[in-house]
Amino acid sequence: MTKEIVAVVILVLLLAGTVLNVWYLERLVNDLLSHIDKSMEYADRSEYGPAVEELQYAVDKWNENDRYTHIFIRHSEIGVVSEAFYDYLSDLCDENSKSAKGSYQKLRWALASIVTMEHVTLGSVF
Amino acid sequence: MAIVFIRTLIIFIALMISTRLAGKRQMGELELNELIVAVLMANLASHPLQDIGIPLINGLIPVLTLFCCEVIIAGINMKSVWFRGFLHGKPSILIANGVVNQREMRKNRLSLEELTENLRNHSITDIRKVKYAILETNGTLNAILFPAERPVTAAQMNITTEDPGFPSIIINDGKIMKENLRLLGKDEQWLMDELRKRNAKGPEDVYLMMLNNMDQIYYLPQEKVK
Repeated sequence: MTKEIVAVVILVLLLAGTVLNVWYLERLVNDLLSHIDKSMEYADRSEYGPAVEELQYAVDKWNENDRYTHIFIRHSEIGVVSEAFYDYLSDLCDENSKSAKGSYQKLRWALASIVTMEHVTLGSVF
Repeated sequence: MAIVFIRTLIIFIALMISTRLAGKRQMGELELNELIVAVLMANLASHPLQDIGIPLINGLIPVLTLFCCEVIIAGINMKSVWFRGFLHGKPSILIANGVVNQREMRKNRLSLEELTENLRNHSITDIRKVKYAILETNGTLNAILFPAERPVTAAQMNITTEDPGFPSIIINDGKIMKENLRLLGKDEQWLMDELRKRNAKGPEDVYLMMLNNMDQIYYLPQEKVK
């Protein structure tokens, strides 16, 4: 009976782990998105210095979570997000507002998609 | 992570249902849940090994989930007769009193060729001699002959037989099995004496040596490598 109890406990822990993972990822992405949105607001007002600063903060935060992302997220998806970060950063540094708008959308979409993929919905399961 | 967990549970349940519906014939000697876990685990675990872009945890979660499911199902199996019947079905009596039950044959999608082939595996060529042939829940066929067709036993003949006990290996490819030797109440000195009687210099000259409780020895020397 001990074995069965341990198995049930492990299943419950796994389930709890998955819920915790979704919560953590959502919190991380929401935090990153708030900085990315702020940087776009600055860029809209042609204040590229603070825009780069905001985005750099988000990039650093993303890189700080490298260990977590590499354990729990497919490496191809990490690559897409990282690339989108640096494309947007490059556009802001170049003060290219038109291109920055596009790369901002791309980055938002890439970040949102890693959360969407972890959300338990009929679509994501099947 | 949650998706992987839920997907594993769904695939496990779907495989359980489909294999259960496929019937006993598909299973060989494994029970339903064991078969599914064996098939799935090997496949699931290999993906993160082949593709380093997939986090290892994506392979570990399904394996751990399946292992837990298997342990839980095996546990419930032990406790609940109803669940056992629900999961594994019931044994099918394919032959009763020498008559093939055609309904059970159809139900198990078993042809007469397969039935006779299985009977031949038990050295039975004549269906009339079979009292019962039972297709077990793990897919194996057991046949019980009519009493008149069963081999005569020593007890039926009132013959007293000696029990030679279980023959144990005492030298395995040149190595002495000390524990077996001890259990048989012998020591290495006795073994060396026996080897000398057979012109062997030591255990390295022996490929296989077995001994039973009646001190009967089976001896096979090492072949000389050319």
